[in-house]
Amino acid sequence: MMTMRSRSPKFRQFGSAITALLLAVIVVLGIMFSGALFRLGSALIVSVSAPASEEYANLPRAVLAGRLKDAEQELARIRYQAVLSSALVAENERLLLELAIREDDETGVGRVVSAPPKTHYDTLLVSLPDNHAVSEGDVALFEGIVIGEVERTGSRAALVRLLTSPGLTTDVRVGEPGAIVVAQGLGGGAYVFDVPSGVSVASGDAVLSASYGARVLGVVGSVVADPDRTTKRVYAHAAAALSDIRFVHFIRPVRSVEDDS
Amino acid sequence: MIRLLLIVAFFSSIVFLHWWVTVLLGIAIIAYSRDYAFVLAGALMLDATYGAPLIPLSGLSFLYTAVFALLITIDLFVRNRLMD
Repeated sequence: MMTMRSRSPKFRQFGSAITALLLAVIVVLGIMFSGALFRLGSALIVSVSAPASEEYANLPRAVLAGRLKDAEQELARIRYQAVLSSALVAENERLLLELAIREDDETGVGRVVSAPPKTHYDTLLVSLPDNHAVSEGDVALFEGIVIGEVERTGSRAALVRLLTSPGLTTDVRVGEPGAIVVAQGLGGGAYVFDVPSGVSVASGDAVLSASYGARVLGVVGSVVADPDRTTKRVYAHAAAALSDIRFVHFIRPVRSVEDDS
Repeated sequence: MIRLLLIVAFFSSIVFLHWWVTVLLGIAIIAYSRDYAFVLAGALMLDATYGAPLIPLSGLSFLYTAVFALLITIDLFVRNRLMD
C-alpha cells in the first residue's frame, strides 16, 4: 500500500485498472467454469475414497441376493413400461385419427439467427415470418429431430430453449427393451441419464423422445457401467450439431391443439 | 476515441460475436473508461435477447447482468478501498 501511494497518479490509475482486470478475469472464469470445477472436485473425492468393490466384498450373501432381486424387479418394471408405452402410443394414434387431429400441426418455419455456443443459455434465437402462428410451448424440430421448446415469441422472432439446457429434464426412450427414463440436459447439446443395467444400450443408439411422439432426440455417446450400481450412466448428445442448424420447424403438441379447439 | 470504439464494439459483439468477446470487451470498458451504465445496459440487452431460466442457478435468467454487476462492484471496491 505504501509503495503504491508513493507512485505517480498515472501509475496508480494504470495499476488499478490492471488489478481490476485481473480480478474480473478470475471471477468470470470462476463463474463460467464453476460446473467443471465442481465435477473435478467430485471426481477427486470419489477417486481418493475407498474402492467401491469393497462394498460388495463386505456384504453378506442375503443382502446381495436382496439387491439382485430389487434390480430384477426394476428391470421388470421397465419392461412393463415399454410394453405399456407402445400400447398407449398406438391408442393415441387411433384417437387422433378418430378426432381428425393431426399431431404434426406445423405452426411455422424460422431461420436460426443465433445458436450455442454464443451464450450460456442454450437457446436458439429464431427469425420468423410475419404470418407465423408459433406460440409459447411449441416444439422445435430440425429435420425431424426434436431440439427444444419455444420459450417466448415476438412478432418476428422466437426464443427456443433447447432440451439440452443445463438441468432441464425430459422423458426419453432408449435401449432394448425400450426403457423410459428421465434425461437431464448438461448444456452444449449433451444429455445424461441412468438406465437399469439389464437394458442393453450401446454407443450410437438412438435416443427417442417419450413426450413428443417417437421422434429422435439424440444419440448415445458413451455408456459408463459401474459394477456397484444397478444402473449405468449414459451420456448422449443431440442428433444434430447445434451450430449447423439453419432452419427449424415448429409444431404444436396435441394438448395445445385440444386447448385451442 | 478508444472509449467510443470500445462501447460500439461491445454492443456489436452482443449481436454478432460469442459471449467471451462480449465479456472481455465489458471488462475492458469497466477497467479503462468506467462506463458502468453502458456495460449494464448491454448485459441487460444480452439477457433480454437470449436469456432463459437457468435451472442450476435457481431459474436465473439474467446471468450476464449479474456477472457484470459483480465485476463493477469489484472494480469499485478495488479502486476506492485498495488503490486510493
